[in-house]
Amino acid sequence: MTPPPPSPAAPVGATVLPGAAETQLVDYLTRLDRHRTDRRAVLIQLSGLQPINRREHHLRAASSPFAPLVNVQNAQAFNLTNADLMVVYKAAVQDAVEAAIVKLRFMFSDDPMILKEETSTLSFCTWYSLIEDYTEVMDLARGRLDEIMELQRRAKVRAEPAAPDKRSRGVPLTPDLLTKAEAALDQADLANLMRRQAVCALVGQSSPQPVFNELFISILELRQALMPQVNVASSPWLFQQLTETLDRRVLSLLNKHDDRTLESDISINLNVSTILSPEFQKFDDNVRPGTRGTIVLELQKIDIFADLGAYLFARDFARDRGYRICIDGLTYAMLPYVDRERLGADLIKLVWEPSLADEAGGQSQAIRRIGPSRIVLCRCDSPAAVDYGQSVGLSLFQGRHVEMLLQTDLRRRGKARPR
Amino acid sequence: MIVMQMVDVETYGTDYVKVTWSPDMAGDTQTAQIAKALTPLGFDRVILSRCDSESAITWGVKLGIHNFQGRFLDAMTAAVTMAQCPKAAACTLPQCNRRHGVIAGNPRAECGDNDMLDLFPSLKAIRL
Repeated sequence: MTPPPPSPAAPVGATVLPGAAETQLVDYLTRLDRHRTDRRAVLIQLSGLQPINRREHHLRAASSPFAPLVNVQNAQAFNLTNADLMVVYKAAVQDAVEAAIVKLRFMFSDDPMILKEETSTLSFCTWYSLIEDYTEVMDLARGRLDEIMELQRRAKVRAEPAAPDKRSRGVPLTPDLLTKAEAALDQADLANLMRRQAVCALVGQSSPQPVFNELFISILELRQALMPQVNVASSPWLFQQLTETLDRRVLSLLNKHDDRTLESDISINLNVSTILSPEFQKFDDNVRPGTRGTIVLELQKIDIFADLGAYLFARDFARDRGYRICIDGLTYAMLPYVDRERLGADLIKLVWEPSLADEAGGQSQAIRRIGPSRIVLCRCDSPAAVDYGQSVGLSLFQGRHVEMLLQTDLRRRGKARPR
Repeated sequence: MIVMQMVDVETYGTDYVKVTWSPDMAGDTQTAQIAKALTPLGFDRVILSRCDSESAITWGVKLGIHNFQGRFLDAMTAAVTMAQCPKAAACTLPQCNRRHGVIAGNPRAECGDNDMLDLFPSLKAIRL
C-alpha cells in the first residue's frame, strides 16, 4: 500500500516560527502511523554544536544535503526550533542519508561535539526505525512541542507587564528630520536636560569616593522634549552628526553657568571635531587654568577611529591645555584592539555587561595591558558589576548602582552631595 | 600610516592588510616605523594599494612587499598586454587600460581580443 502524500514539512533551511516544525513533525508522524513499514528517522543534534557553528547559514548548509531526498519525496526534513534536524525517510535511501550525514560530520569536523563524539554521551545522530521506535519518536516530537508552547506562554506572561522600549520606538531618523532636530536644538533650553553621574573609586568595602562627575544630556529626555516620534538611535551616523550640534549647545550651557560647575572635577562627552571648534576655544577661555587638569574629555571610539589624524591633533591640543582624555563606550570584545597608551588616552570606559562575570579570568590580560587603574567600569547597574570589577583589580566605577551607594553613604554621613 | 602606529595590525587576524601608499611614507623614519609595524604580520600578507607611481613599487619591493595595486600597475598591465596582443595595433594604451578596468559593458566589447584582456600578463620588477 502506498503511504498517503506527506504533509508539507518546512522547506529545507527555511526560517519558521518557533514550534512550527515540531507541529508539522507531529502531524506528519500521525499521518504516517499506518504506513510505518520501511520508514526510518534520524535526529541530527545540531543543537549540541558550538554556538559559532550554529548560525543561520550553518543550519541552512546542514539542511542542504537532504534537499535532493526531500524533493523526490523519499524524505522529509524538519528544522526543529532548537536547531536540531529530524529527517524521516524511506529505508531505500538509507545510504543517501548516511552519505549526507558524513558530509555534515565533515562540515563540523572541528566542533568539539564531533571531535569528542566517541567519548561523549551526547551523540551527533540518533537513528530510529519507525516500526519499532514510532512511539519514542512521537513522544520526542510532542515533548519538544510542549516545551516550546510552555516557553512561549512564559515569555508572553513576562512580556505583558513590561513597558515597550522607549528608545527603539518611533520613525527612523532621516537627514530631513536631522535638520529639523538640529534647528530645534539651537532654540531649546537644555539646562533641564543636563544630568550628572559620579565616577567613584570603590576599593574593598570602603565608602565610594567620587573622582569626577560626568555631565551629559539625557538623550531619552531630549527626544521626549524635541521629537518624541523619532527614533534618534536608528542611524548611528546621523546620530553622530546630531551629537556635534549637542556638543556646541552643552559647551555654551557650561559657559553660561554662573555657579562653580567648571571649577569642579567633571567630564563631558565631546566629538573630536568639537575640540577643534570655536565653541571649545570659548569654553577653554572660561576654564580657570588650574582646573583644566580636573576636566576629562570623553571621546567615542567610533569618532576616534573614523579619523585618527584629527584625533591625534585634537588630543595633543587638549592635552597641551591640560585636559585629560577618556575613550568612551568600549565593550570587552573591543579591548584587544585598543591600545590606550599608543592612543595617548588617560582613561578608558569599559561598559559592564553581565556576561563579563561568566568569563572572569579570561579578561585579565587585556585589562592588565590597559592598566586597571586606567579603566572606568561604567553602566554598573548591579552589585555584580562592582564585584566583578574589583575581582579583576578595577577601582573606578560608574552607574546607577554606584550612584545609589554614593547617596546611601552621603545620607549616612549626613552630607550633601558635593558638586 | 597613522593607523599602523595606533593598532597592531596582526591583532585583527586577517589574511591580508591593505596599506595605502603615500609619498610621505618614503622617508627613512617613516619606512622604519612601517617596517616595524608590518614585520609581525609578514610582508607577504601586505597589499600596497594606490600605487600611482614607480616610486611606490620601488619602495614596496625594497621593503619586501609582494602585492601591489593602483593606477601605475594598471598602466603597466595595459602596456604589457598591448606588447603581447596580436590586435594591439587597433588600440591605444588608454583604451586598453580602460578595458582592463571593467568587467562588462561597452569598453570591454570594443576590445578585439577579450581572452587577451582577461589573461593577466606577468609583470616583473627589478629587485634592488
